[in-house]
Amino acid sequence: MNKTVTYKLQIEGVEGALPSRLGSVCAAVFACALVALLLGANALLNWTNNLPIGPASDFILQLATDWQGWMNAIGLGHFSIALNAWLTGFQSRHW
Amino acid sequence: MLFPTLDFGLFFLGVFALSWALLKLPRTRLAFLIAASYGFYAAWDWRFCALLGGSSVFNWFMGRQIHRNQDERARKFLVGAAVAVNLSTLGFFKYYNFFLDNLNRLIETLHLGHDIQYLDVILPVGISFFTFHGISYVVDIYRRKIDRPSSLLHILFYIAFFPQLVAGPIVRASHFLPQIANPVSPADIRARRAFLLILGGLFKKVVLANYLASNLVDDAFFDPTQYGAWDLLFADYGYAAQIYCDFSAYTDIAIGVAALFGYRFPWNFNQPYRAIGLQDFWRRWHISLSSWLRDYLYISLGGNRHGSLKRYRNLFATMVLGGLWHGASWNFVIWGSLHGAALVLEHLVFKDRLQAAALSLPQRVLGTFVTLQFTCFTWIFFRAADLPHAAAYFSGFARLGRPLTLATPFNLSLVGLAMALHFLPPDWVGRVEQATRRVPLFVWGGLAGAGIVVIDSLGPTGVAPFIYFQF
Repeated sequence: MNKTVTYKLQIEGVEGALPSRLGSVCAAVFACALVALLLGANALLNWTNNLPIGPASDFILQLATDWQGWMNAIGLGHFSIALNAWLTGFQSRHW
Repeated sequence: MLFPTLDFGLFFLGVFALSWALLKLPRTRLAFLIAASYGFYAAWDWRFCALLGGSSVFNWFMGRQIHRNQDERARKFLVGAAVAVNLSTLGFFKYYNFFLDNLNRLIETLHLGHDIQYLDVILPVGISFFTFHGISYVVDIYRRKIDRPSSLLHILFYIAFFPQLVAGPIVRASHFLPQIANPVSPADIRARRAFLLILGGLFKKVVLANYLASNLVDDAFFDPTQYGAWDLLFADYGYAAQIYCDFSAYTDIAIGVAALFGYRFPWNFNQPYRAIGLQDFWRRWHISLSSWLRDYLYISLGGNRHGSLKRYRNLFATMVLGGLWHGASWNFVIWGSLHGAALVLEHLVFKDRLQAAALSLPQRVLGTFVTLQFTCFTWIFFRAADLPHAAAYFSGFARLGRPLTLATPFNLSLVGLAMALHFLPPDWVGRVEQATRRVPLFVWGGLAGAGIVVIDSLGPTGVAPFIYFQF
């Protein structure tokens, strides 16, 4: 092995990216989680359905079911269903 | 725990919040991130946490010994021993049964007696990656790329940090340890880029790679005899698209997640299918592995310092070993050998003249076309379960009379979209970032949340593991 080996500089994935402050990043991560919670009630329910059975998961499942009901009632829950239906239709298309 | 799952989302939220809450206690923050990373690894198989920890402690110890020693021969011996132990561990878990399988065949052929018993060896996920990180550390100490040995805490973090732990990118010790040694800045988090990379990665994995696998590639490679030449050709392009989307997705998400913790990982992919030649391809595909192989294997073998013949020998050997790194199978040896031979041929014919800037547009188009065809041809060895399956796949190219059935509008869109990503401006992520710099970051966050739901809704039920987890 040669100790005078020169490495090429590794280009970083965030090279030249705009910096942000921690406070605004925390707000953004919170906004991301909130919007995902509002629009993704169906996915959340699917996830809770797969949790191991137990008192805690029963409670979480009940919460997720109620949440999905509310989101469907105000129309937000239909967003993901509509997207999924569109994709299923596209998948079954033939020339 | 796969990146595109709610399990990981919740894990990330918890670790993100707590790690930044510990900002003023850097050592505690590191210890917490190490514990979280081991928790992440334990979600795969807790039994191998000891292996991960043992590898880290061993390399930390050897790094100290190499640094302390001023005698060059002793240093060389120590680094050789450290690399040998690392490679032996990797070799046992990854190649033991492959080696035995071939030995037993030889014994049977030569009628030398009874077979040697196989061991039930489970391949620890990510072993190739954390072994390479360990080697990078001891070799960088030996080469004096690192001024002084790092503390055990830093080494544990360097090797186990969860975004890169199971499938890279391979982060150099000399690149990452200085980042760990300095406190992260709460005023310099590259969050916009991180959101873009994470969303793009999720789309490539959940939508493109998953559907390409289930709708096109898996069936064709499982039983190629059921398909005609055109279907097999299309499925081969489909696999080229799938493996790119799958692997680049993982590393894009890893880079993005690390950035949200204040760390910087290197790029791992740079639109590889627009390469004008194979040297160019390997500067664009799995960059962290190909540059690792160049710096730690090719150069250690002698590189290009001892004449053309030895240079080509070293290049070929590096590619064969790089192929074998991907898995214990003759398919990977052939895949690596084909790339090695083609690289040698490219060097012989073009020397170092194959530079994009020196070529006309038609020459570049021709170079890209030829390189893509060669790469797709070799992917058949890479994807096929074994050599008989690869042979069956190739023999299927003679069935020219059968109609093309797999090229549905949906499958064509998937392949087309994956390939189109290669011909966007190379700096498109930065351009999007600049164009939207006035949009407040919390709006970005909200849009990212909506994007995650869109991707989840478009994806199939369940997510297959990333292809590179098996390596």
